[in-house]
Parts: sequence; structure tokens; C-alpha cells
Amino acid sequence: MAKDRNTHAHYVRPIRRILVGLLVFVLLALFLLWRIDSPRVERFRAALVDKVVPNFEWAMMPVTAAAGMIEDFRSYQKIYEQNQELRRELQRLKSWKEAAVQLEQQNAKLLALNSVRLDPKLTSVSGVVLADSGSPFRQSVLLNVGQRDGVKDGWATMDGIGLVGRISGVGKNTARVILLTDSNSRIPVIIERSGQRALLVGDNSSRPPIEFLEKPELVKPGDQVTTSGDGGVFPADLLVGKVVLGNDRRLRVQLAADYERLDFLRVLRSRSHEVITDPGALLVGEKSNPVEVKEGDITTAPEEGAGDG
Amino acid sequence: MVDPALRNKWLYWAMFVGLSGLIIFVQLIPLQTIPKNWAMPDFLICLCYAWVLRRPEYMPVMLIAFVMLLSDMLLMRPPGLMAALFIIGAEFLRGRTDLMRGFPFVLEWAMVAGVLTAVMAANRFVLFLVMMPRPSMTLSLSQLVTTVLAYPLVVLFSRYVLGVRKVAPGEVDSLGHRI
Repeated sequence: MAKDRNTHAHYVRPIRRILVGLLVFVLLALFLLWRIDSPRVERFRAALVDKVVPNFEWAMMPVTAAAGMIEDFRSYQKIYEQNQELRRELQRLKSWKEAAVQLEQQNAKLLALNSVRLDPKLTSVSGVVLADSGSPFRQSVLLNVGQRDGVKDGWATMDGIGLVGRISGVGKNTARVILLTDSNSRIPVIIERSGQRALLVGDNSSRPPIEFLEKPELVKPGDQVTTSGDGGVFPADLLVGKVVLGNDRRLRVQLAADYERLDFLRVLRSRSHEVITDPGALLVGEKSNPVEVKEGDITTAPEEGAGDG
Repeated sequence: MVDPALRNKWLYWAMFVGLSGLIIFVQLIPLQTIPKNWAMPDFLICLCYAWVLRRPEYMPVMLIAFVMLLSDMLLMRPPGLMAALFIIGAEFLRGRTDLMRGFPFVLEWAMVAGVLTAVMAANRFVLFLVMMPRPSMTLSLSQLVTTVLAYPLVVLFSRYVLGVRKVAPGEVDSLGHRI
């Protein structure tokens, strides 16, 4: 027996050590590969999640539902106060509704007069939240819609009211939504009233800060924040939330979406915008395909370009 | 007839994989989507280290690698990094099981806390080296503290519910071999 142990110590241990070293090396190499060529590894991750997580769906749904029921049961205790509050709110909203109906009619008339072409109506596909990121360092949820339903990377996701996040990572049957609170989330927004453009930068807190504001003094807590549609990633005019002053004296956004309970989310199908890449063709003209250009067009073209910027 | 030692091994593997799956599953349930200021303990690593110290021969390094890499992938961590660091930590502890067999629990706890701290520091250092954003210090520290506090609970659970305990000096297995 003792001899046996000795041979074990002499031959097996060093080999084992080499194998463990090799294993650690392979894992670190995978990490470096991910760091260098992240999209490829992330695609693999999306495919893996797509294979594994839906298998647990049968178990996750009832557990989530049961937890929701317990939560709801707790809220029954406050039902009387809630009722009173809702009545008051209803009164206030009635007057708002009147105002909204009038404004809608007015708006429709003005639009007809101007014959303005707004963005085409957005269609959406709804999904159920299957899982969250499972880690306190990342803020994302997994939806049960994916490539099968035509979901693509970069599309906006909303709950009933406000923007929730952006699709990042699509598997066959699942899609991951990076929430606005995640530290990798950057969304171009516009702040109503002052009309300033800024970025909403997630920082792993429940109220993401606003950054790259040109004139912060013009922004007041309570201003509404919507997406600006800059960069062509997102449709414009989706409600994000309202400005609040954080404890650290920074301007932050109180998100409109109900992050307390994300269960059904709408993924907005955004069509890719047509991108104008060569402004020169109009001026220079192509020999093979001569275009009749009026003088007026040539003079207005550069001005339009300047106006955009 | 199945070799009892082998059957035991398979039993432990199945138990570890099952428990790991359960822990990951519970973490994935979307109950809380609001970011919190403190982090839940990492029960998976507690379980792994507690078992490595108790039954090193039933916790092959490939099994640890498989479970840790899977959790890296599913929990949206940088793939491979935490798995590699956790394996280095596990091998460090495995090399000291003979030494730690007679230790009182407090010493073992301190040792595991030291390894966990080293793993966290190494993780942050590597992320710094490859110029990646690091998670906030308070969040990392809170996870470290809760994980260290959770370790005795996991040990108690393993000991009294699952019956995974330290091998006493001179104990023999069912075939009469010394363990």
C-alpha cells in the first residue's frame, strides 16, 4: 500500500498538475478570445443560453408566479389606502384626458395642414421575461422571443409605459435585453422643454445618470425624458422617464418603466433607416446614368447638409 | 455488481451537478430587476470549496471546470476568467486537505475566506490588465462578505443534510483502503 502511494506521488501528481495547468490555460485563453473577439463568443453564449434556459421554463414560470402572488398578497394589506389614492388620481386624470383629446384633434388638423410625414407606425412583438442576468453586476433579462420571431439586435424594448432596454444577443428562441440600468447601456435621449440632447448612461443603480448635457442649468427635475433617435439605433420619442436630482447632486432619470416587476415586454420592430452615403453623386453626376439636375437642386443640397449638422 | 466506491462517486457527482443547477436556476428567476446596493452570496463557490475540503477525491477538477464555465456563461460573466480563478483556488485548497484535516473549523473558514479574497482581487486585477470596466468596489466587497458569511451555512447543510463530512484520520472506505 505504501509503495502504491509512492508511485502515485511520483507519477500521477506531476501529470495531474500539468493537466490542471492546461485546463486553466484553456479557460484563460477563452477569456482572452472573448476580450479580443467578443461578438463571436457572445453568439456562442446566446446559443448556449438558448439551449439551456428554455428547458427550465416549466419550472421557472410557476416559481415566478408564486413569488408574484406572495408579493400581491402583501399589497392587499394596503388595499384601502391604495383605493383612496387611485380615486384621487382618477379625478386628476379625467381633466387630463379632456385636454389630451382636444390636443389630439388639434394635432391631427395641424399635421393634415402641413402634410408632415412622421416615422412609420412601429409594430411590436411581445415576449415574456424568462430569466434575469442572475448576477448583481449585470442588469439584463431574457425574453422568450428570438430569431424565430424576427427579433434583431439593437431593437428597443418597452413595457406598457416606458423604455426598458435594448436587445443584445439573440438566440433562436430567446433574446437578451440589456436594461437601461446596466453599466453597458448608453441611450441617446432628448430632454423635453429645453430640447437638449444627452446620453443616458447606465451605472448599475436604479436611476441612471444623464451625461454629455450641454447646458445642465436649463434642465430641471421633473422634465420628461424621451429617446432622441440619434445614431439611428432607436426609434425617436419613446418615453424613458423624468429627470430627478440624485443624492450625489447629479441629474438622474427616474425610469417610467416598472422595473419592480418586468413580466411582459414589447420589442419594437424598427426598420433600418435609409442612409445617404454619397452626397457627391448629385453634384458630379454619373456618366453611365446621367441625371437631369436643375440649378435649384444644386444650390439647395449643401444647405440641407449644413442644416442637419 | 457495481463497485460501491464508484457508485458513491457517481452519486456525489450527480448531487453536485444537481445542486449547482438548482443554485443557478434560483439566481436566474426574474424576481428582482431593480439594481441593489449589496450582492447575494455566491453559494456555488461555497459548495465547491466545502466539498473539495471534505471529499477531494469526489470533486474532480473537470467537474468543477464544467460547472463553473457553465455558470460563467449563464450568469453573463466574462467567460472563463472566474472559472480559471476558482479552479486555481480549489487546487490550492485541495493541496492542503491533508494539512487541514485536523484543523478546527474556524481555521478552515479563515483559509477559505483568504482564498475567496485572493480570487476576487485577482479577478479585478485581470480585468484591469485587459482594460475592462470593473464592477463597483462596494458591490464586489459586499459579495465577498456575504459569501464568506454563507460558507458555514453551506458546510452545515452539507454535513447534516447531505452527509458530506471530513474524513477522520485513519478512516477506511468500504473496501478497507485508507482514505
